[in-house]
Amino acid sequence: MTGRDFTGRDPAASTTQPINAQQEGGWGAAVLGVLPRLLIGLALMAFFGYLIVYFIYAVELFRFPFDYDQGEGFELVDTLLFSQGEWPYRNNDSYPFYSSNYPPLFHVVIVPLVWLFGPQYWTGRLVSFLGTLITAGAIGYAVQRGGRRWWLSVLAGLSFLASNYVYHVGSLFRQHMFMVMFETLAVMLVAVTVEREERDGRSYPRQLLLVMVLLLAAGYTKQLAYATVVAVFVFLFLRRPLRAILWAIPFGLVTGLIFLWINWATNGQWLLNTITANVNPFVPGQAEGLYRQWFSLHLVITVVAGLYVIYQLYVGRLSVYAIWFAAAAINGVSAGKWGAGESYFATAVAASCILTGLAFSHLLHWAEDRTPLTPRAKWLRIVIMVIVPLLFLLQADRLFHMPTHTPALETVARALGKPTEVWIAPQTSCSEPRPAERIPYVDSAGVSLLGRPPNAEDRAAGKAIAALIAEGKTAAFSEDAGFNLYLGRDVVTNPTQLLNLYNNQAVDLTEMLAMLDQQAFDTVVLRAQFYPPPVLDVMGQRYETTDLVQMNGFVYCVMRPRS
Amino acid sequence: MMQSSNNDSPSPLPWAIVWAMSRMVLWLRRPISKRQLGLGLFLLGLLAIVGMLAIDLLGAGQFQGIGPAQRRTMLVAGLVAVLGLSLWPLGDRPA
Repeated sequence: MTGRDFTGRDPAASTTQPINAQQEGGWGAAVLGVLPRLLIGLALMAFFGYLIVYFIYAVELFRFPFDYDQGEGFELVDTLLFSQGEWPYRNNDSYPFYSSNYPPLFHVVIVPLVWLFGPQYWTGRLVSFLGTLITAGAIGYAVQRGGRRWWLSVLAGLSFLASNYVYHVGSLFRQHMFMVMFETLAVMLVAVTVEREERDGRSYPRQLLLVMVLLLAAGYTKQLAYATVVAVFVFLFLRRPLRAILWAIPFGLVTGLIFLWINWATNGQWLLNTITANVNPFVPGQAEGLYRQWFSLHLVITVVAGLYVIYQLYVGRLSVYAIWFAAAAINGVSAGKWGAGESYFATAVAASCILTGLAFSHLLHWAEDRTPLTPRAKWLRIVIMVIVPLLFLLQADRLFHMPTHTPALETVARALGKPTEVWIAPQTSCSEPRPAERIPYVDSAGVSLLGRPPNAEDRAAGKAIAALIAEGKTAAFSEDAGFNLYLGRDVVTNPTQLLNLYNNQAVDLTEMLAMLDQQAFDTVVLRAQFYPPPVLDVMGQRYETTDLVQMNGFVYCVMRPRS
Repeated sequence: MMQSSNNDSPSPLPWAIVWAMSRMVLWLRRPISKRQLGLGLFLLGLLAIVGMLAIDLLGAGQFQGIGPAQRRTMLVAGLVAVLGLSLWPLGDRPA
């Protein structure tokens, strides 16, 4: 067997001949010979441009010492607890009413950085960011193995980093993209392993064992990885059903034993907080909206990937990438769950980047392998060589996102015929609506609160809120963890987790409500009022708003006890 | 004599099980064909449709009759079943 099973074709059998239209004579032919290279150069420039934008955003986030996305601080708290040898899966009924709802691996990986540098937001942001670079590298490697065209491999890898979704969340202190990294590595390795097995006629159990470890790592980074686990085992089943079953048994056993061990070690809090609390209401409109957005933004890579899956289904052989793409696209429906979002499509984006690279590679090889080399065949080659980079350019245009906070970036956006600013009213849940403000960030995903690099004003605002909390003696009852972490005080509860538990009748709020009623907290800080209704009720009765501070496009309400 | 003769003749059941299991193992060692994959997808789609109807019969849904979510799921399940059927003519080629 050859690479035919892997990409749907055999690259080794290619009689690849470089296109050199100049040899055919005439300046027109010479232009056509240069045109593909020019377009490839432009496409590479566009995607390297997105890489630069991604770096700018990431560096600004590394410098920002507070929550940029609401859940970040709680992931830092999880890491902090692990660094102290404690589980973050705790009883929410008693002070500090805190528990995590995520598996541990991402936080455990960051623990050494927290030991070295303390509870800093940049630690997890850096690890997540590096994870996305590794994912892009793995995508490029997968395409390179299948096609051996460096520019196509580079474009496929960079397409992933250029996705609006990856840009928004890739450098946040969130575990999602770290899961995507493990998923991508596992899928790439299983593709390589099975290809080698079928080529060499022997098994490579150690490589498969590594695939299982990577899948386990993905699942214990975030629960959503189950779709990739299913995809890998379906692929193994299609190739050798008995082998798939024999690997599935120990894999299931180890996964289950780890689950039971953590549950035993946390007195059942693991099951309650990571499974029960994640049974959230499904919002069909949210799922539909996100599907539409995903498809619209990633139009080229999604359509090409879909067509290549159909080709493999009916003409070639289904690769693990095709099954992975289908599983991830279907699993996108889980983005309709309350609390979920666009990042749930990141796995589908990774799969579509690989499939697009392989599909184009297949097409280019097919065009080059055509014999005899008739004038029509030569033209076909040139047309395909022109269309492929053009499609990448079209994809680059659809993904457009760029901060325009510097004159240089603003000039680039203007030169590209894009808007240089948007006007967005700050989000507020506890004050009068505020007028729209100029935001130096444009995004084809629409009005987004993620993506705009935080600036000096945001840092000053965060410090101002922390200073207001510091006037009191106790930890603040705050919707963001960052302010208490900044002051070295306790982090009190995680509002979204508390709401999840409340909605599932899995938390007793008695002690918390009593503390709020007794004004045991000197300060309450609200951002979006995600707390359960009884908590908000008692807050309203016993506390009043004294200060409004705007940070990252949100109005934070600082409340003090009513006298 | 008759009783003795009955005791001596081996029961065919264990051999049938061994035979079936060996066939199963042999089958499981081969790659799945496009037709088998198609059959699997067809049965999956059919099962999902039956499941949706069962939910309706048991009255577990929010709506009387078939609700919008059930209708969408049944539509997708129907498409999966048709996809499975379309693979049938591709025969024993590996999936």
